[in-house]
Amino acid sequence: MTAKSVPPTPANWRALLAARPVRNAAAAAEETDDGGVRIGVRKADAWWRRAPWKWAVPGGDLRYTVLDRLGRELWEICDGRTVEEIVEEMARRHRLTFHESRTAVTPLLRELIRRGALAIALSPPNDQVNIR
Amino acid sequence: MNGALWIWRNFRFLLPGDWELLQFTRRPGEGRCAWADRCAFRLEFVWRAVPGPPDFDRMMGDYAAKLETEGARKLRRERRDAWHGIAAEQGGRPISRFGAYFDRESCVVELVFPWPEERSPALERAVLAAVREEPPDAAGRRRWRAFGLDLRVDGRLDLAECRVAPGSAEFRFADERGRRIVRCRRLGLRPFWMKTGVADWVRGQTRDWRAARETSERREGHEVFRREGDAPTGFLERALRGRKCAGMEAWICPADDRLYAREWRGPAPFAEDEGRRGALGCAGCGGLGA
Repeated sequence: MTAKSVPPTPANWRALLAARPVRNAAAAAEETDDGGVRIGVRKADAWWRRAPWKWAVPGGDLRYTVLDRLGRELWEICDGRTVEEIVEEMARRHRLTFHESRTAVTPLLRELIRRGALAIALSPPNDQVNIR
Repeated sequence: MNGALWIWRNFRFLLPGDWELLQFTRRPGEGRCAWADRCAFRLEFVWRAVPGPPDFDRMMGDYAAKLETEGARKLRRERRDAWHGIAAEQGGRPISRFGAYFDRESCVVELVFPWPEERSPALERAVLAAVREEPPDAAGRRRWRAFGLDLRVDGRLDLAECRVAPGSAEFRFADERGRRIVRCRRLGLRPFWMKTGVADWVRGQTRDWRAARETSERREGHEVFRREGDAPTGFLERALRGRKCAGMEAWICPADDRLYAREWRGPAPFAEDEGRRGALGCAGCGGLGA
């Protein structure tokens, strides 16, 4: 119709919103002075992290991710809720629209997953009943 | 439909309240906007300025043929008042497209509805029926309403920049040479960055202005702080073009706890006019109506 009319973007976020990020149970979290959190995640196993090599290679066994106050809030509500529920909760707390909250929350979730602080739960939580 | 009003590129839309504008173009000649609900894109608005009304019959025929080659199935021509439409199935989903010519704007507009599941003729009809051109007001001011900002700005200015981020939206309008500028902002997440009151925030933003005058007034439940003065200019610019006047007003809307700010810069007559007649309102509370 218009000269450069393009088909609408097929993007939808259903699968993303249904995902359930959960905190890595092995991660060590400690509060920082500014109200944020420092999350320590064990690094992947490698030969240079074993004795005797590790005595010569600098760096500890944990990789740390530091989050500010907002990041800490997000980290704390990753308790088995879906991404959609997390986005809604952050939107409610900070008076954002759904998509404002989504565009703030999802890159941080992605980064925390990449760093091993969060994982995506594949099974439904215990209280979910599937009616067949 | 109990919807939300959006005004973009001199067209107004009444859309369901949970649809948000996620993609947009600033160019007046040709561009597109796309709205989405929380899960998927729901509406695309495509415009193109044309010299006169097109031959819709031929255009729709060509368009239907083009869609067919792109894999669209079950094509059906439809008509809704002034809108010429094609309904089809594309990628297994129903899609309806409607086009119309708007005389005042001399523009062909296409609305595309990518339905997530079933097509909703009632919603489609309501959206189409509410699309209107938004004419300038008596003073030649254009209205824009998006991202929680509702503003009227001098019709000679173009939208030079629009930046949207979580908790932050900014429109910057400017003339071709960038001599007249209007900037409107809406900033959220205040507890994380705003450590002072509105007056101090405005003073911090306008620190280099000279001969500044400050006023404060209560308008429709909002405490509005205003600062006007001379924006800094180089010696040569001042000698050639005279003073560059500037003004800024800001307030916090109690309804959404966001900071709203409007700033203008330009030659004295422009700045005076903009300061007096320009308007920025909060779309959320409907206050300080633009």
